[in-house]
Amino acid sequence: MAASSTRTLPARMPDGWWREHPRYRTYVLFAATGFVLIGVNLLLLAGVAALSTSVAAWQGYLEVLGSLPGLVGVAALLIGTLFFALRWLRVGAKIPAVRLGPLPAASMGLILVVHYAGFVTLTLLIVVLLSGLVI
Amino acid sequence: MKLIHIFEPLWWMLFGAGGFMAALVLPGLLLVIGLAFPLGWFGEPAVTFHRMHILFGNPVGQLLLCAVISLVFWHSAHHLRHFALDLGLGHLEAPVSYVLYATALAGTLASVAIVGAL
Repeated sequence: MAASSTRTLPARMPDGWWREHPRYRTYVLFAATGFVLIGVNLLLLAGVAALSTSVAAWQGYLEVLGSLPGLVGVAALLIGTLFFALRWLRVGAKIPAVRLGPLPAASMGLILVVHYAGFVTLTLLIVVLLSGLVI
Repeated sequence: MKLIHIFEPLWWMLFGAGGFMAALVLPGLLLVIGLAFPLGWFGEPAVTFHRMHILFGNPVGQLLLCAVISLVFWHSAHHLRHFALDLGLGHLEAPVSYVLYATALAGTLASVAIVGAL
């Protein structure tokens, strides 16, 4: 069949489609976590800048974070980051696995377990390293 | 094809790498730096200052920290681009994309400068 020469507009979702179902709202909320991650990045960069200045600057940075508004802000960022992390690892496990030689492709369940195990391991490693238990 | 679409494989690669950095590394860093340190769970500020310098005041630590922060900026830029599309801003895709990727580039340069000064 010959291709039509009629020009058409690209397909687009109806306005407000994401409000129609809880799953759509969660999907859009997940995309909005980009704001949360930028916030975490800026918080970390402010900390690194304080670290490269002086002990007093670092202490001032920690005092701001330890104040009530600071703690509320960090708690909100932490909740947003954890929501992102757990959903990212779950969605990532749905990407079809690549077969390596004669080995069968890993199942989605196995990939999900590996993702969560990596998350727990790296989080514990970071906590242990920064806690001063080994340094 | 718009210029922004020519680099689509690059945007998606940075999005994927940054997503795993954000999912695997950011929660631990935020938990310690944002909560444990300010609440004094892991020592006085002078002690944590010294410890952070030991861990990140060397080329390997700086490279790791820079990689995490930079890739998370690129991931966020790409995710927010699609967030804008989801909200019906498709007709503004090119300018929104340029602003977001320029922000990610600025974030990358800032992280190189700030982490490099450690």
